[in-house]
Amino acid sequence: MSVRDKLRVLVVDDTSTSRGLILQALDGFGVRHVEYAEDGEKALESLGRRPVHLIISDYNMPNMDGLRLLHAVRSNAATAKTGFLLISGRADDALLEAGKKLRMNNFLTKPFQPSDLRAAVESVVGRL
Amino acid sequence: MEAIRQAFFEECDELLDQLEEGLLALQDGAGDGDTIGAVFRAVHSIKGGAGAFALDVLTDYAHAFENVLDQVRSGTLALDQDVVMVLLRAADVLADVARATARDEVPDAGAIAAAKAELSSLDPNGGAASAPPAAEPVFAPLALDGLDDLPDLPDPEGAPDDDGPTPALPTGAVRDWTIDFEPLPGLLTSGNEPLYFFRSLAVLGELRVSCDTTGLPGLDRLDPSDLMLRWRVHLIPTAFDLTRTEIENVFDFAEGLCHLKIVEGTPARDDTLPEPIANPAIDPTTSAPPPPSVPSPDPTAAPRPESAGAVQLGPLPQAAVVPLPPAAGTSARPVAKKPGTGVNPSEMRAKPQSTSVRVDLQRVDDLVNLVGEIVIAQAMLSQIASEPARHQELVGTLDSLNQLTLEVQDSVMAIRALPVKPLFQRMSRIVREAAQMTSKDVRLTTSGEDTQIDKTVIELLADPLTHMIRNAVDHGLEEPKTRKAAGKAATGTITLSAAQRSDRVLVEIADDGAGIDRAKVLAKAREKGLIEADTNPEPAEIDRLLFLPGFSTSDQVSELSGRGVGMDVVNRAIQDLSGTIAIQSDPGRGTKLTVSLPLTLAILDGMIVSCRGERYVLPLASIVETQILEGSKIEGVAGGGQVVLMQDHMVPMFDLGLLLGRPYVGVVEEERTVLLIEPGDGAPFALVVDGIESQRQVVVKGLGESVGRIPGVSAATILGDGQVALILDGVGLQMLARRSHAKPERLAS
Repeated sequence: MSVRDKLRVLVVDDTSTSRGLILQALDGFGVRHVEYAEDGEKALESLGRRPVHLIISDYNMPNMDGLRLLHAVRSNAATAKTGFLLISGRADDALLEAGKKLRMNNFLTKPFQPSDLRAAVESVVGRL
Repeated sequence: MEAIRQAFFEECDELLDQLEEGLLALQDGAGDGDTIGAVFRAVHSIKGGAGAFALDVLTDYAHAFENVLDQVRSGTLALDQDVVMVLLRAADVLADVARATARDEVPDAGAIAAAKAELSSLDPNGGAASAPPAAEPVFAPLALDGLDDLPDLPDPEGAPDDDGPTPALPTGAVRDWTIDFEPLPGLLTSGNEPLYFFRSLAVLGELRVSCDTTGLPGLDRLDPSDLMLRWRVHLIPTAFDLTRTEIENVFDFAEGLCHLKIVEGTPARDDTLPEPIANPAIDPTTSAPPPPSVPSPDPTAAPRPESAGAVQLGPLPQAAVVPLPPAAGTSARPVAKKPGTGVNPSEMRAKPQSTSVRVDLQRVDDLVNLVGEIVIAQAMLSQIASEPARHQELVGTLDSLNQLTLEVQDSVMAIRALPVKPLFQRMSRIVREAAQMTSKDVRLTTSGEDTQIDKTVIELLADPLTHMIRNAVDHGLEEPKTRKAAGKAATGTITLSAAQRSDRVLVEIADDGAGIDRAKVLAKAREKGLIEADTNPEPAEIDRLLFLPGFSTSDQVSELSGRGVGMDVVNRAIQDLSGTIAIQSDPGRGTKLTVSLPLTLAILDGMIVSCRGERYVLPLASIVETQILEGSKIEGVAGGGQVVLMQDHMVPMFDLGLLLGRPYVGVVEEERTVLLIEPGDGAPFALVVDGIESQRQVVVKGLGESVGRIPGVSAATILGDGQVALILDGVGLQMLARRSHAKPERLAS
C-alpha cells in the first residue's frame, strides 16, 4: 500500500478558492483521504473526531490563524506529532522562525503550482 | 479548473464587499484591530487567488494594496480619515480590476497607476517599490518519523453507523423489490383497502412508498368509489430469501382489481411517479422515514471524487452548502446502494450565474416541510372527498390547506427577499465619486441595512437610488464654505435608511443641505409653463413640481446628475416598482425623499371594486378611507369639477368610470362609494366606484408586451371565479384625472 493510499490529510483554509485548489491538487496526486476545515477552530474540532497524518493549513485566517493552530496541535499529546505544512501568501523570517519553534514540518508560499505542493508534501511524508 | 476560477470570482465579490464594509466601519470609527485584520485578509485572499490563476494585473495591484494595508496592520501607518479615503478609493479600483478580469477585459491601466501612486504615497517606507519580493526564504522541511510506515490511525468511521434516521442497510445480497400498484375501478367497492396491502408488505421488510396523484381529477369530477391513485413501493426485505410469490400473495384479494408489476431491484428514477415526499396512508410506526427531498449532507451518499476536476466548487448558497465529498472513501461501503439518497450533490448545485439567489438553508427547509404538509393535506382531501359523510372534515382540511398555501407564499417570498445592505454599500461608492466630482465633503450614514426586499425590487431600485444620491450630493448639499457660513459642519451628511412598515419597505434618502429653493423651483416651473403664472402653490406642492417631466433646476446641466434626466425619471422608475416617492424639504436644513416600496411585486393586497359591471382591483395600500357616496358633502368647483369632504378635507373627486372612459348610463346605484386614494406623493383624491366587493390578496400578472402601457392600469389578476380583473394604480389614476378633468390650477385652489 503506497503512502498516498494511506495518507490522511486535513486542509485548513478560509477561502474556498485556495481550499479548492489544494483539494484538487491532492486529488490529482491520488491522495484519497482528504478532509477540510474553514479555520483553525473547525480544524481542531475535526482533529478531535478524526486524527490525520498531515495538516495543510493557510496562515492568514480569521478566528485562529495557522500558527495558532500549529501551536494548539503541538500542545495536544494526541496530535503533537502530526505533520504540519503551512501555506502563506507572504513569507517573512518572523513567520518562519515562529513556525520552526513549533516544529512546523514545511512551508509553502502562494501562489504555488501543484508540483510545488507535491514536493512540499513529499518532503514531509515521503514519496506519494 | 474553470469551475474553481469561476468560484474565485464569486468569492472575490464577497471579499470586495467585506473589504468595503470594513473600510466603511473604519471610516465611521467603528472598526478595531479585527476590522483591520479582516480588511487585510480580504485583499490578501484576492491576491492569493489571483496569483493561483496567474491573473497578473490583479495580483500585482492587490499586492501593492496589501503592502499598504500591512503597514496599517502593523501600526507603521496611522489610520486617519484621509488614509481611509485613499484606501476606499483603492478598494473601488480593486473592485473594477477584479470585475474587468472576471469578464476577461483589460483593466483600466490609468486608474490602476493612479491608485497605486496614491497608495504608495501613504507608504511610510516610500512606496510599494521599496518592498521588493524578499529572497525566497529557506526552510528545511522536517520529515515525519517513519516515512514508509505511516501510523495506523483509529478509524471512527468503522464505528456503528451514525448517519441519521436512515437505517443501515443489510450488507448481504438482499434483493430489493419494486412494486407498482395501480388499483382499477372497483377495488374499493369490493372491500379492498390499499392501506392493508401496504401494512402486509411492511411485515416483509422496509417500505418506501410513493403515491402518484396525477390521476386525480378536480373535486367536482371526483368519483368517491374510484381511487385514481397509483403507488410505487420499494421493498427492502428483511429476509434474504423473499420470493415473488410471497409478495404476490399480499395482493391475492385484489386479483383482477389492480395492475400489479413486481420487479427485482431498486426503482429507477423515472417520470411516471413523483418524487416520494410523504405517505400519510401508511402507519407511521411501520413505514420507513420518507427519503429526504433535499440532499442530506450525508457524506457517504456523495460520490467520491475519482479524478482531477471532480472536486467541484460551485457557487453554493452560503448556508446551504453541501459539503464537499471529503474524498470520503474512508470506508469501502457500497454507497451507491442507498435508495432515496442517491442524489449527486453536483446536480443540485446552481450553475455559476449571476441570477442565482443565496438562500439560508433554513428557509429552504421550511419550504420543503410546508410542501410536504401540502401534499399530505392534498392526500387527506382526496381521501375525505371520497367519503360523502365527512364533509365537515373536508371544510376543515380545506381551511388548513388555505393556511398552508399562505405560509408557502410567505416562505417563497422570503426566499426572494434579500437585505438591502449590498445595495446600500454600493451607494457609498456613488457618494464618494459624487463628492469628488463636486469637490464637496460628504459622509454617508446608513441604517436598516438588514431590511429585506424582493430581489427584483432591489435590483431595479439601484438606478433610481443612485440618481437620488447623486442629486442629493450635487443639488442638495452646499459647498463646504457655504455650509460653514451657515454655521453647519463643512462635511455634509447623507443618510440612507430602510425600514419595513407592515407590507411595505420605506427607503429614505435624506441630506442636511440647504433644502429646496422653492422660489427658484416656482420660477422655473412658470417659465416652463408647468403651472399657470398667477397661482401660488403650497410649499409641498412646489416640491412636488420636481417630479414633473422635464423639470431641471440646475442652471447648467452638471456632469454629475444632469444629462437631462430629472426626478421624473426617478419617479417613474419607482412607480414601475409599484412604489411611491414623497418629498419633504426644510429650508436650510435639508431634503428628505421617502420611497415606499411593496415587499413583493408578485402578490398584492387589493380591494375589488365594481364599476359599470366590471371589476377592478385597487391596491389596498393606497386606499385611506371609504364612505358611501350618498350623503357625502360634495361641492362643485368653478370649471366643472367636484370636491368631496373626506377626513375633514375637501379633496377633488373623480368618477372611476369616467376616468376609464366608460360614462355612466342608467339609474344611479345606491351602493356607489367614494374611496379616498392616497397615491403616495401626498395629493389625495377621491374616487367614485359603483360598489365594493371584497378585500383579498391577488396574484399580480403582467399585461404583456403587446398591450403596452395603459394609463391607470398597472397589471391584471385572475379572480377566484376565473374572471380577469385589471389592477389599477393610484398614481396613474391621478395622472388620468389631472389630464382629463382638472387643470393644475384647480388642484391648487
